[in-house]
Amino acid sequence: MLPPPDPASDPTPSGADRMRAVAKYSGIAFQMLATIGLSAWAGIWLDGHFHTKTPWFTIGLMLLGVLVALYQVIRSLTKSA
Amino acid sequence: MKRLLSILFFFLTLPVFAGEPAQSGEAPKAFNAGEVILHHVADSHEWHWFSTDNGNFVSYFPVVAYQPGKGLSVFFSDKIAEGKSYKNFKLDDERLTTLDGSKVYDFSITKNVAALAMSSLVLVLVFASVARGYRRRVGRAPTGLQSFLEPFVVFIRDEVGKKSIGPKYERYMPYLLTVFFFIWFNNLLGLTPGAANLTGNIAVTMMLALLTLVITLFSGNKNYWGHIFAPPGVPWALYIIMVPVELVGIIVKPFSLMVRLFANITAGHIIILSFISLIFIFRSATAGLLSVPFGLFISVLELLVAILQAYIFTLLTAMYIGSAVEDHHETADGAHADDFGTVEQRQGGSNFAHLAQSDVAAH
Amino acid sequence: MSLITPEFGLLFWQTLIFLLLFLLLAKFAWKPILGSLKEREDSIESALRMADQAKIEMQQLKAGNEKLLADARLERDRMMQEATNMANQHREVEKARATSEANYIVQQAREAIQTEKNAALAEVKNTAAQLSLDIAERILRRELADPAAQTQLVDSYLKEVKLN
Repeated sequence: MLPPPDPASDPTPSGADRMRAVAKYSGIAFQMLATIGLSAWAGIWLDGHFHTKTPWFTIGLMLLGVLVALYQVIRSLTKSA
Repeated sequence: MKRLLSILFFFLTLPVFAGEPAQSGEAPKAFNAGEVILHHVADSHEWHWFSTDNGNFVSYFPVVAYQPGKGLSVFFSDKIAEGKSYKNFKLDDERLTTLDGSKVYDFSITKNVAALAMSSLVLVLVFASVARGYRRRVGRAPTGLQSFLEPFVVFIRDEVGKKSIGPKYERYMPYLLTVFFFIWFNNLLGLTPGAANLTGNIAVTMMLALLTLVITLFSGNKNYWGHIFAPPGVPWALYIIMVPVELVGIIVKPFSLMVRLFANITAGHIIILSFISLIFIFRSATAGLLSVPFGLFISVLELLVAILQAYIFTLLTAMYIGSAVEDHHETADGAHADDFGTVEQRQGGSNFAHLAQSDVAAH
Repeated sequence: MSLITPEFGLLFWQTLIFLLLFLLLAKFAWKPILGSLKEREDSIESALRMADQAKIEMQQLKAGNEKLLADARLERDRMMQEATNMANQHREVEKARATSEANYIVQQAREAIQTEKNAALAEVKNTAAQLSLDIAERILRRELADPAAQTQLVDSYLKEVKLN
């Protein structure tokens, strides 16, 4: 465990800090969902627009969305901001 | 994880409600739960208070329609209620359309717009009176409404603003406070019987999310844009991948805010209405023995969700702004975010699970 | 689908009303509320700081007093010590002087005695010489008459003379 960088902050978690953590992590989860959802939507729209026989845009963008979502999760967990 | 599952659950169950009307269309008098629920959750051009055997008690609002080339038309919505048409207009499943199929922009005062205006008026009156209390009792302990709302203001300032944005928090406090109390008050007002589902409307949450996005983008400093267009520690060749990914992140953050608030509030309304609908689906009062306690339980839970969602929206807004204005890595938020990892490890996720539980139940 | 499609009209009104609400609240609510909160917190903080400062000053005063007292006590001890030392020193000096005086007196007495003794001895010697002269004179006078008598005389004189 890392030592708290702010010496003034209370090391014991307060209710507010717990709530903050819940909000933060659920925010990350929602962001992941939104990323995948948005990319899927974009893929479906592109497939409809170009009348592709096989929904390559949907497949490709969804996979990309998953990767981007994973990247975002990893980054927000490691970089914290 | 539980939240994620519950959201997925919500999205999976939504089409069931939506699909129901199509299947149970043969009996015209049969109770159609899906239609009733969607009607309650969605916006409308009239305010349907309640219906008795003798008739409907409905308030009608002005319809403001703009047609390119033809100008504005203003009339009351009773003229197009219940399938009637007026001039060139009619309502097609609550959407204003024209009989000849020409384009029309609907600026009508709908139920949500009316609710929005009223709740905004309430907010202004409440906080003007609170502010008056501060002016009248300078430096003294707060009383009444002021003492009830002060902890929330202080909480948003200290726990949300200061911790997430850092030293520049003061500039953003008016927005954070407005957003918090707007969402909270409207969540609560939305729970009152007959009221509009304002914060569960995607247009409302979209506007709030867009405003957050705009404020974040305009607050972005050199460091913020540098991280997006020239991510540090990344070779030149990867910029072509990283920059779009970062740009997607900018859009996705407010998008997730929009969807989350909309989904949570709408889901809560749908669940309560579903429990109530059970009575009418089974056409028996005994179903009420089950559905009323459950509906009551969810309603109480929704009171909690109302403030929780307002808090989460405000906190995430503050975090996004905080990431835009942070100078380097040693911001207050960064420091606290490190704490969270340790907090969660220490708690073993027990409190986390407890809090998440309420959300699961809410969906 | 209508549920997740934003209505343009509502979006327009929401933007208008929310921005109006934001401006109104910012001007008439948040500014005075946040200002008053800050003012009150500042005044409480400054009051606390003042109390702390007063406490510190009090402690400093107390510490100063104690230091003063301790200093006084130390000074008193030092003075007492000094006085004792001085008295001791004085006594020593006095004692030494008395001793030397006494010695001087004794010495003088001794010298006087010696002088007297010498004088007495000298007188004794003179007296003895006188007596010897007297004796000699008488012997000489008697010698002229009878030698037997002379011897007798000497003896008698010798009996008379008691050298003491």
